[in-house]
Amino acid sequence: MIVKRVQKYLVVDYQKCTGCRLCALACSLEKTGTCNPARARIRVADWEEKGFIVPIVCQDCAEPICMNACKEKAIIRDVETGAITIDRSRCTNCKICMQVCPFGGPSFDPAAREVVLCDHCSGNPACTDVCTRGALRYTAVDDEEQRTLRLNNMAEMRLTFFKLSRSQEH
Amino acid sequence: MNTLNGWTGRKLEVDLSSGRISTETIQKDWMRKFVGSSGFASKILYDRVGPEVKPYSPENLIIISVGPLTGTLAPSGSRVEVTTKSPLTGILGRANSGGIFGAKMKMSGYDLIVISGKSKKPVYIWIEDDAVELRGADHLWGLDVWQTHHRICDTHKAKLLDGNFLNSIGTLSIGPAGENLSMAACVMDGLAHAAGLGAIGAVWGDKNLKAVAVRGTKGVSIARPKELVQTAKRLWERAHADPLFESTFKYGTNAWVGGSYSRSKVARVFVGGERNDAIEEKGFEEIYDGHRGCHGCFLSCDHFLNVKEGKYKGTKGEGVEGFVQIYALSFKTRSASFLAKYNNLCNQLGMNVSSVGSAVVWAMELWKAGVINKEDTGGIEITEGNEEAILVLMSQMAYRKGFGDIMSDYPKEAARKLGKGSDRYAAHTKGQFAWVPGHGIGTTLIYTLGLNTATRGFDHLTGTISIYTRDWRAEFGMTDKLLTELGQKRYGDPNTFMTPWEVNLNTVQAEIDQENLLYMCDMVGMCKFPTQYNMPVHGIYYSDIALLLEQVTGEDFTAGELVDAASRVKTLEHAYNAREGMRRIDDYPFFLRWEMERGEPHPLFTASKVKLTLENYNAVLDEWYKLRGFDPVVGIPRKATLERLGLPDVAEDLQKRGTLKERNH
Repeated sequence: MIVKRVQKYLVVDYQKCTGCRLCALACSLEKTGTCNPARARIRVADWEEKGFIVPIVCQDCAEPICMNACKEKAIIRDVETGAITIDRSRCTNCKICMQVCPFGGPSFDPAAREVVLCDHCSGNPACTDVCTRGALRYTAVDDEEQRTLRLNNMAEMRLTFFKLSRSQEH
Repeated sequence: MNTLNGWTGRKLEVDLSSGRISTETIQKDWMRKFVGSSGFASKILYDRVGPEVKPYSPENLIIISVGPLTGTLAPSGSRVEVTTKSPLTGILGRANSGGIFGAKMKMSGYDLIVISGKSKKPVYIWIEDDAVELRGADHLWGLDVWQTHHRICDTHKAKLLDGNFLNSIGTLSIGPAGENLSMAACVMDGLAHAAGLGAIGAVWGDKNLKAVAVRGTKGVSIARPKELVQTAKRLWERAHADPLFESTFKYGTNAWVGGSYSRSKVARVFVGGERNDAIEEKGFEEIYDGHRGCHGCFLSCDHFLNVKEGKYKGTKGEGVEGFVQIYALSFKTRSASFLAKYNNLCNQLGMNVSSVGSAVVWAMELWKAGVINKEDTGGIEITEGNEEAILVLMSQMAYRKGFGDIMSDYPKEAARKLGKGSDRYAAHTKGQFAWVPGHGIGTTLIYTLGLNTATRGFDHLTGTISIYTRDWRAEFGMTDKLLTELGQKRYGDPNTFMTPWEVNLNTVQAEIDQENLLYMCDMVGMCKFPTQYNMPVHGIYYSDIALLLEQVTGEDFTAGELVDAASRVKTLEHAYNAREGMRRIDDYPFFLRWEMERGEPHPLFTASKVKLTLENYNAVLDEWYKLRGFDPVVGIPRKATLERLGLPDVAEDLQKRGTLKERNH
């Protein structure tokens, strides 16, 4: 896949997240004109009793599982931003992408009744703009530190979701 | 149907006696007149909960309300208000909380939830957008706040909706303190946010209402989304320039505790002890484990707590609110990890940190003075710094056992029950405990005026000006130069903020401006922390709130209109209290009232030490009544004032009941 410019990512530093949900408010405002975290492309999963909060957003995997799983080939990589997004003309809202994603990236908008995915707001993400504690950054992952942070976070998130999805089944 | 932005325009009525649930539309003209949240709630309380209704009668209401900015991107728009007739004071009881409940309630489509009646069995209210039901809470009764929250979240699959990970359930609940009708009982929002003052949790307990839980997916429609984002960002950037921004951003409400420093200096002079040292900054570093924010708050001033070593190792939670530190200083406990423990226990038991703190300090003073001994306390030694004793007393208070049963009724009723002259230590205004260290006194004359004229009794959050003079704030860059400039700019008098205990009538106008700002915050559903209440130079002010309201609701609001609305609600609340029998004498600090009523000075207090005299207080109080349009003789709103503010029905009602006398015209 050829991306026209330097690929940028939404790098999540979940240890800095305060659970204020400004990102989700800004995202829903940008995408739907309402303040409604339930419709946002970025969500805040909050295990307050453990002091653990993670902003959940598409990690733009190099080899996206969702892309392989989608029978309609509705999951595509945006040539401008490199973001993994949904081709609305093809998506049937079957939610298989939601099932397979280990990071909770794609989500379901209960008002529009459709699956939604972060598209980096065409290169100017609304969420990173309002994150005052520095938990979200939109940046090219070019240095070692950033790369490590991103990989660590992906691993942590994956592990956490695994544990949490287990703990929910009781 | 819904053409409103910001507001939802809907009210949910729940009658616990009959189980009837209905939805009503809120009158359109209320939105301009009372704006929202506490404005709506105080209006409903005035109309429906008169003097004939006792706090524990089924006719008393629990009104949960949110404002037009709650749940939006407007700075720190997270607040929810819980209003009722307080069993502690018998007058207006309202308390405000952050957390996520307010936002979730708004997103479920309601501005107001009005709960009446009394349930025979424990219940909780479950709201999922339009679906509302009363559910049995036998399995929750007796559980603490944290257990209740988790059980409710488990029942309703808090973290899953339509296959999404989404923690979207907000809960308001009471703990054992509320169930046992403790006067320290608050209503907890989630795990660690509280609507604290006025013993409102006891009204919940009396009604057998354990919790209200809500999942909202409707969102809040915004009239001008793009402009709102720009304004929010601009206000955030502007706040950075304020001298008090940094401390707020780092320590939250604890940044204020320097203020309590001078307050407890007063206190220690008063009780004859020596001055405490503040908890060291390092102490906080030991227990803090990252920041935590309420819904939509750029400040995110709260913290996660994690005690890593020592006696309280393993204590985890959220906090600690500044008042925890203030009281810990008064207890003469110095360890930060005890703060975390105290904070968590309050949250779990559903108790207001300052109600508990005041009662404990009261008991300590009694112990020290030899008024009480082991026989009274059931063997507990309430000596200063005795952490174990404090923790035991807290549990006793929540469950109304042992000596805690008496402490639970602090201040007035506790002193009456105990007797032995303990009332001289039980400071209160209008039945609401005053911070014991100060015995009804603030750091300045005008601050003291605000504390004691507030409508819910002694209160710094609805009626005080927080620009202190020449004190600890200088350390943060709030210099004399800045204060003189500010005074000159706002009130044409460089000395406005420079005369702590001298009578300066300009300060009264400043005080009234500040009260209006605080009322506005409660009415629009915004936190007071990013405003000029906390950041006096670059914080949010009238015009900013008007602009935010305009962008959120699409209705044009001017700052002037908002000031009028704030005055209207403030006056309405005073009218409510007047109808309940509050008069001028109820607006005095504890020790001055003592002097006036008994004709002798308070035995433990000599006014000269804090530079507060009856003469000075009367001068500012008279001016305050004049500017507010109240009759200074009785201290209640004049008929003309009520009519000017568009409250002729209130004037008529007060006249009919004989509260407003003829000469009052």
